[in-house]
Amino acid sequence: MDYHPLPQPDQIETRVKEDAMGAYFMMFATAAMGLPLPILNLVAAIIYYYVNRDKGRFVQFHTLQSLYSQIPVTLLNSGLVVWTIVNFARDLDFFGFYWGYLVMVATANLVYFIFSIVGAVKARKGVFYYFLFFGKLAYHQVYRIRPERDQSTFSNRPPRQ
Amino acid sequence: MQRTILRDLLVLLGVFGLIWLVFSLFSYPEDPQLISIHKEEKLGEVYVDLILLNPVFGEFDNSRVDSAVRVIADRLEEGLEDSEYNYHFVVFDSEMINAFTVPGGNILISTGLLAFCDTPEELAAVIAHEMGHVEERHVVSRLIKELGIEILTSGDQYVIGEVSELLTSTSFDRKQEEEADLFAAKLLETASIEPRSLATLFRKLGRRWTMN
Ligand SMILES: [Zn+2]
Repeated sequence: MDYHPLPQPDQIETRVKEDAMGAYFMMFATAAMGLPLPILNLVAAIIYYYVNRDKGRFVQFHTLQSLYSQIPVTLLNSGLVVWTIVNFARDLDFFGFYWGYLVMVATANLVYFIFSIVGAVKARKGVFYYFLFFGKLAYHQVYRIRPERDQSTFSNRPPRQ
Repeated sequence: MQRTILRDLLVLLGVFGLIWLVFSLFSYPEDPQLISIHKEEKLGEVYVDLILLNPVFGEFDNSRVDSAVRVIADRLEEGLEDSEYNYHFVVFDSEMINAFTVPGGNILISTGLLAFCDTPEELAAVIAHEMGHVEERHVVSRLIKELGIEILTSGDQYVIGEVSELLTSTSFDRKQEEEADLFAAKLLETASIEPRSLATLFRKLGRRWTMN
């Protein structure tokens, strides 16, 4: 599979770098807003992605990396909110698997936060910074050369009998 | 590329799955907040009944003494601002000068202690001190520390027996005693009971007995 060549830092405009950096901070803002209702912040994040789609692959890569890494964190957080409410409602215990989950979610948020800050700083410098898994996924998504659909060989046909 | 993406995903899932598992199984926090007051009260009921089954701690059925305790306790409870506990007092028949707290706001007082107190203020001081242990959640902390939270809430018969034993034998640590004393001093003041009675009582006790 082939990929588009990557631009070097001096080939990227400052405005583009700033937009790429903005993606990470945008995700923070929506993540904080949408904590109780994660659907909202995912919608906001996806809208941000589509708004910035035309700003080139560099911005797209960082936006997508940020969006992808936000999805599991958001799901984990909403899982925690639901679990906590259920525990309170049923007077269940707050240890065992709940405690482990709490620690895991806290770790995930911390890791996400740190990587996003680093990602934002790197983006501002016009540098590609790949998160584990999400970085490759975003790169694959944005820089993969998709086979062009050849319009000329396409011909309309009536529906099958 | 797709293969390395998949490998990364597995690494990520593995690491976070492991964190979840490890912290679920091997690291029980000792925070008493992890047991709700409601749960503590349910635990307490079982323990009180069990402790009173022990012939050493026969429940003392004397309504006059009981109501005297109740009057003092009511006054102290008025001084407590928004306590989440419903206090329950039991006087048990024993020569020993003894008072202890059982989870869920249950305070057990021996007839020996009642006889030992010269004034109602002194009894108030004892009760205020025990209320300190309750409000600061020392009882639950101690049990979690001794048994682990999982075992404590298991409801196992053997464990319940063990807990009753612990409640009536081991004592709180020095810091907890100081906290309970501080709490008692404040509470006595709020309830306009001479806080000096606490000091008097402990001086007397120091000569006679050590108290939980
Ligand atoms: Zn004490």
